[in-house]
Amino acid sequence: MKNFLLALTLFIPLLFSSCSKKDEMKPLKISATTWVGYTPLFYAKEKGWLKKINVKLLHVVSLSENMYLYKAGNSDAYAGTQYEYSILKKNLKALFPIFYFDRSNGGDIIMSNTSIANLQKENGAIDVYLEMDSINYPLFKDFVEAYSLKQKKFNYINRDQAQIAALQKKDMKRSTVIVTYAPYDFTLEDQGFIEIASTKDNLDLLVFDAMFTTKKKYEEHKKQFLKIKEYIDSAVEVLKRDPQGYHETIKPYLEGVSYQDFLHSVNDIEWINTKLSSELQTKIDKVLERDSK
Amino acid sequence: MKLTVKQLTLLNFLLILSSVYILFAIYFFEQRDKTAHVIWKNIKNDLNELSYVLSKNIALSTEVASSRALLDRKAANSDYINAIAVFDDEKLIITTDPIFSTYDPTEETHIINVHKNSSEALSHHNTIIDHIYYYKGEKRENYDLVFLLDQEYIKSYFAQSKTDFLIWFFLFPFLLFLVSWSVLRALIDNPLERLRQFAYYQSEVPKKFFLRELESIRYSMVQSFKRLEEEKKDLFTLARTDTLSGLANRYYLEEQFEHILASSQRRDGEFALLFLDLDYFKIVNDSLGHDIGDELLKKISAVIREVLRINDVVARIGGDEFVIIITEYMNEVQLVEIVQRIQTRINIPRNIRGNTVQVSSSIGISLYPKDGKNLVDLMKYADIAMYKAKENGRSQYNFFTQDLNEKIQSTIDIGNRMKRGLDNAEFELYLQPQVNIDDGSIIGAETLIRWNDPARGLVYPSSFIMLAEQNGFIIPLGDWIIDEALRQKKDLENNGINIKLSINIAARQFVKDNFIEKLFKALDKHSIDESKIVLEITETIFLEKSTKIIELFNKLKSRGILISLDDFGTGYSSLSYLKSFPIDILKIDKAFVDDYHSNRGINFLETIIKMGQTLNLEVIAEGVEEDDQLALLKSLRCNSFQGFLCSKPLPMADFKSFFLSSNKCR
Repeated sequence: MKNFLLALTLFIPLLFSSCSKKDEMKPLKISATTWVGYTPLFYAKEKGWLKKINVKLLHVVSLSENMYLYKAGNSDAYAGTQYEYSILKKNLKALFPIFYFDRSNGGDIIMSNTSIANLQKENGAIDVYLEMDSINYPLFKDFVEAYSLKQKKFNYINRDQAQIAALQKKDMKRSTVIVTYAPYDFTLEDQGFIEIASTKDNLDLLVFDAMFTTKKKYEEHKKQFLKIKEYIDSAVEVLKRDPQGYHETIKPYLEGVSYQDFLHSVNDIEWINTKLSSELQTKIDKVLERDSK
Repeated sequence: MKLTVKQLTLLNFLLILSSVYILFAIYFFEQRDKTAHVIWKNIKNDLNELSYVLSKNIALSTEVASSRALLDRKAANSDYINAIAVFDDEKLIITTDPIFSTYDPTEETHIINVHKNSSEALSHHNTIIDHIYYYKGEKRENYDLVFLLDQEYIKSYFAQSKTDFLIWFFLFPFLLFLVSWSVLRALIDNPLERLRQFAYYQSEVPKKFFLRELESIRYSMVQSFKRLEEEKKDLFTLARTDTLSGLANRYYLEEQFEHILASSQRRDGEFALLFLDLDYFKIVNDSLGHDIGDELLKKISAVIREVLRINDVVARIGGDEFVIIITEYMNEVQLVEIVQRIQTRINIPRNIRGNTVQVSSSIGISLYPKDGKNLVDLMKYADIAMYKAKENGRSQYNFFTQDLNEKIQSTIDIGNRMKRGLDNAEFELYLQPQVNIDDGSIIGAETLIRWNDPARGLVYPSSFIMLAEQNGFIIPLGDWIIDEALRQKKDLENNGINIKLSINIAARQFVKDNFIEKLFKALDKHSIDESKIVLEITETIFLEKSTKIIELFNKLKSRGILISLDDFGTGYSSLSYLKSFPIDILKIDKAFVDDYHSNRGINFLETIIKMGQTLNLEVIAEGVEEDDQLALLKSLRCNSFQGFLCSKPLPMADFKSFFLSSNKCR
């Protein structure tokens, strides 16, 4: 009887240790690009907040790469737009957005080596550099629709943003359209390309950025996700209060992006981590109304 | 050296556990090395592959930047790589994590081609490096491709593995060992110990065991011990039993004698030892055969056992000789009754195998402590007494002490004559007047029994009443007294004498179950007015169960019969009895009246009378013989008196004459 009780006494902590293991924060990997709307994550990383809650932030170059990384199971959650979500959702029914970061308000940009007028006049093929399996594609479709370019011949060149950002205007042999997003637009601007459209004014597409994961993962890492949301809100507050200090912290991740460029790209998004503005709500209602017809 | 089951099993367990631990440890280290090897190889392969791909696709450092996505993907897809960077002579070209921007190329440990054990390599390398070779024309140049290993993850991975291993391959088997050990203790070791204790002490029978084999052993042991116990009891009984008669033998008699002696010494009591010898038994044996003789002995033995009570001891000590010890008897009279019952039953003729056999017995009786204080003496004297009985003609009993013998015989004789006397109407009720103290009128009479013994003449109750109470004759005598008294009452009434009649009732008679029934029947038979009947009962009645007595008293009262407490003050009265029992009359004993001339005596009389008055009881004084006594009683306001001062007890005829001549007395 003594030995049995001893065994029980030793076994119970074993049980609890396995239970407590469950309670301990298991490693959580989230992936994100250096899109300005996701920089609060990098801010949190630099501040050591993510390490405290056993979260590893994986940095990828492009949205599609991010999507594929998540699909391969190399991250537990990813930051992306609704477009990648719609693609992944076809196979991952349990995928859902946990919280929002921002809405693109000019951060998604169409650039070119020529003007819209010239494109409209172009009779030959037009090269289009974009990430086909990202928000770039619907954005380009929206652009074609908006500027009546349906009849034009487009040569789609599927590249990731790092490769796109390396393009030089002088190397373009014909009319070229580039679909990109901040902060890659600054590099392209330096390389001679001009902005011809964006989500700020002349494109109707609403682009939202959020953190996505499955319900199961959410339940497993709920505490960590809630903390991440807290950190994001705190980071956005810092950004609003001290954008220069914020920039100092995250600038290693934004190669070749000056403080001014960073400020500019911040102005090209609308933070929706806490609530939607009335203007945005009106715009959403208009789109829903239009789509229902 | 002998090992116990527990020790052997423990050794076994420890041996198995140690072997298991050793094997597990070997397995663990092998697995750890294999895993480390796989991880290390993977990292090296990634490094090699990446450096190759990059070397084929880049030439300028600007082109390296375009490979950023590849590096990011590689770093993101590997849990063991924190960051990847490309350096050109320590100058950072590109990194997947800004934290990783420098490295020390001179450290020996960076060189991946140094052969080391994989585990060691993983734990000691923070970074590993390979070269990206490219050509500028014919000149080979190189960049440094550096992997920053996630040491934290690698260490925690192996630590976790180690922890898991320790828990599941060390702790868990140990727990299993403890549980197995407990089970073994519970199912084998403890039961064996209980069996051992049972075998040694045979005190507590172990409960059923779980394991079949042990349970079989337990069951067999229980049965064996049970059989042994029964055999022991049989042997015990056999050693103390006379095989022929089934009675105790001498050995058992001696044992029992010691107990009885001790008990008698404690309570200062008496017991009788009877030596019984069958008369002419030898003739039966010789003439009819020993088998008949044995059969006779068996029957006699059974008869003796039947007659005796449970606490009495009877032993056959040899041949046709029996010793009986009788422990509880009220007096010698009762003892003699028992002896006579034994002899009467033995005397009955018996048919044994077609032969009518009749024997008698001679019994010698010795008494403890009067005749002796040990078994030898008592048996010797009882034996002597028995021979005396044989000398006196057999088929009788004899006490060892001659005086006692004679006394007993006399008592028995009187008892027999009393019974004959009742049948022969030798008893007579006399009447003594009871007088009202104030006016001297005769208000009642007490019936007093007299015996006209043909042999001895007039015998007063003091000579026979006590014996009658002892031998139970008081019951039939009492019944006769009641009947006769009521007849006399009727006779008195018929002669115009309507006074109360007091009848003495013995306690033993009163508590008899059918006393009330018989009394009422007699009252009805003689058509007597119950209110003129007084039952005189002595204080000894209070020795009986009071609830029953009260019930009887109430039944009497319900018929209007009066109850007088006779000889008040001499027995067991207490005020609580006077309170509880419905008494009508207190009869002061003669002893108090005789002491009338002393202050103390006067005080007692005064007290009793006043108490009676206070309790609303009539008080009558008994044994009044002097005028002074009467004067005193009158002054004390006693209600009535009885005694020689008025008249002695008179036969009925004389009483009637006395009354009719003058119904006053003084």
